[in-house]
Amino acid sequence: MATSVLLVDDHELIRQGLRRAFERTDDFVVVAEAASVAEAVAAANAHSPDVVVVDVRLPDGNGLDVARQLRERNDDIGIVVLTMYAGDEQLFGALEAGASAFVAKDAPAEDVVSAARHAVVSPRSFSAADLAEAMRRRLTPSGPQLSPREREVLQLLADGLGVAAIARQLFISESTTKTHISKLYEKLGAANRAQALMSAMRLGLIKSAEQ
Amino acid sequence: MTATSVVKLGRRWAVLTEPRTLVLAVRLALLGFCLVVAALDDHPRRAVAGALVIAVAVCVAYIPVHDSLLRRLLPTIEACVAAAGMIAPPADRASLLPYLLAPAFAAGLLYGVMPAINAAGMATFVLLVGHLIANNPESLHSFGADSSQWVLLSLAVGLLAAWVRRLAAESAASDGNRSYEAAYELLSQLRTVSRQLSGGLDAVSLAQGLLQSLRAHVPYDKGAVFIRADGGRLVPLALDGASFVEWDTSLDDSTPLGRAWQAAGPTVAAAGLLDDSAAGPTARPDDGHHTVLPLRMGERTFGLVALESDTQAAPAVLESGQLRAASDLVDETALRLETALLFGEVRSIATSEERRRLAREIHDGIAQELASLGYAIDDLVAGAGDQNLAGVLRDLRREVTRMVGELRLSIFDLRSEVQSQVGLGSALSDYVRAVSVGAAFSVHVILDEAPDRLPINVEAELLRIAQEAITNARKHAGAEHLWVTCRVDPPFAHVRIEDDGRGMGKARHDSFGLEVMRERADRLGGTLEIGRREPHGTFVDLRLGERRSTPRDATVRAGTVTSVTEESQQPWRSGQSAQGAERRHHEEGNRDGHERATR
Repeated sequence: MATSVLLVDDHELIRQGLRRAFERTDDFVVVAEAASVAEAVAAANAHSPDVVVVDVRLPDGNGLDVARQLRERNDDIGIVVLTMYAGDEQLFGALEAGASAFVAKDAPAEDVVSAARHAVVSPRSFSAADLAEAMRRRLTPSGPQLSPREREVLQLLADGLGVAAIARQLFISESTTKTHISKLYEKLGAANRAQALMSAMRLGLIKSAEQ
Repeated sequence: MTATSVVKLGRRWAVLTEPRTLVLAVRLALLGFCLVVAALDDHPRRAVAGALVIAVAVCVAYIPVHDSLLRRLLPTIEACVAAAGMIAPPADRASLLPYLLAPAFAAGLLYGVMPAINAAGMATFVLLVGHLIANNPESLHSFGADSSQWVLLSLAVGLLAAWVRRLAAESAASDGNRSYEAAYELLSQLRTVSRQLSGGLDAVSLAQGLLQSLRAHVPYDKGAVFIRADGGRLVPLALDGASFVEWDTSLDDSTPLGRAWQAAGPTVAAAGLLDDSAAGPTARPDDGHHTVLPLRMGERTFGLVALESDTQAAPAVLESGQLRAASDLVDETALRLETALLFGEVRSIATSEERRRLAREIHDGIAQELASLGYAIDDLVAGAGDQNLAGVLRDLRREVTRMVGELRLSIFDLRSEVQSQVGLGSALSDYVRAVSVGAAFSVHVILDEAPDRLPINVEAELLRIAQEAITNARKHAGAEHLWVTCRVDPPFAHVRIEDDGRGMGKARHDSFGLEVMRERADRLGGTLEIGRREPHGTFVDLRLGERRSTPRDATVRAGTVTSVTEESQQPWRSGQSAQGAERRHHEEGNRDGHERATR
């Protein structure tokens, strides 16, 4: 039996192109098309398709919301999110909405079809073209990274030393010390010493005073 | 008295002074007067009969008539009827003559000079005819004297009313003109301001000028103009001798600046503005003094001017007269400063709005059409039996894919903005990350941002200049490396984009993109340099303001870590040794074989 597909995009020509791509295969049949969130939900209810291909930007809302709604109700439905937007934000948005695959609109129609094929087989997994890259970008620490020197200065600040004392202890000039302190403030998003120490402690960059 | 009753009273007053109401009031008053006089007359019956005729005359005046010409005649008819009532045989009723004022007044006030003259003239005519008919020499004499007085008086009243009418009409017309004049004045001021501002966001030079002029009133060693930005931050607009780092600029009441902010008035204190917590217990006791003056618009404080002096002999020196002069100067500049800031903000809102609109338009229009064209080509490829044709179509499809990819990035460009939480550095590095996906070059980002930020519209302009430069490098340079440097230390900023690609061709030099970059740089009052990077490639370099502390530069060269938010995933391929101890932050774009193998 052929896999049923629901196409959701507000652009007629896009839907047409995708429909033809699915029709070229033997194992898919497009059962319905929708041009808005409301139509998509109605069509999904009416036809219970195996796969939904949905655009992110729709005239009356967000395609990711459609994905989220469908996923809440049905764990086995395949959801392919399609988008024209660039940037990792959309990709992770699709992942979090419970989509099975994410395809950019510059990719060939065959990519959409194979994403749909994957989505039917394992609807609760996630595939995307630059997933590995995006994951790596996301995993890179975004919190403040301190240099060894900055760590030293931070520790001395936490010990209650003043600028001059820190400078003497580290054998650097006072102005250099100030620069380090300002860098620390910047990285910790602080406006003064107390705030800097607070956030450093919160981030685990320094041990609490007792130790 | 409550506000509503005042309004009601005002409305009532306006209704009362409405010409028609006024005329009715005059008529009724005169009629009442005539009735009283008639009742007190020697011959009450005759007099009251006359007064009743006058009452009929009043009614005549209010006959509903649609024809405007006829309506203008009504006061004249009224005057004739009233005059007939006064003069009708068998006797004269001189005491009723004052009523003649009413029709003349009505005609003059409502219809102008000619109806007023008509009313007075016809009344005279009727009275004269009445006298001639009565032919009583004795009474003719006395009545004639009386009536001529009242007739002249009514003529005068009529003309006066007509004059008032014309005055009112003129003032109404000129009121309209006056509001146009005011609007014109405002608009031309705005035009002047906008022209001045287009030579640089003038708030900065205004603030610098303010610091310069304040020196005459309050001698200081370090001075700064701060404005409050989103999220309760104080952003320095101009600095004179000060290094912002040393001052605690949080706005709670534990700091001198915070206390001055809450006091909302000029404060002078015998202490420095140094962040004393950072100075630590070993610091010398505070010496010197500081003066903080609020920048106010009406009751609202939007910024601070902070002046610090190192000399010990402080507040005593600062006479109250000096302080007042300084605070007057600050108040005066505050208005201009806030206007300049507001104007910049309005323009930046308008620009962002337009960029979002453009992004939507590309997204919903050409991008979708091109994408669907791509799908159509996919269909043709699948249906093509001929291998040659299929090959050509595949090439075409690749080209379309590339174009759609470009459009996606353009949309991304248009949608990326600096925000109140996301500063220039993060916005720029996010942008670089996004556009370097799948790029053939590696990207090296150096971020060096001070804790305080530039005004948000300046950040937005800087981001757009950087975007443009990066886009140029990405599209045209064919580079192996792209270096993005962003140093911000308000009011100083330095953005540099370098690539090791082909360098600029002739055509690119005067391309539209470069022109727009220059325009943006001019608007910020920055210096934009675009040139050839040695040994090959291109650099775009934008500087804003002066970097104030040279020692800091020196320490950076001496080996400060500028910014490390990511470790490189690949050995850094060029210039590492030349950079000495300065570690750099890299973001590697997607690269060829090795990268694909990991998927």
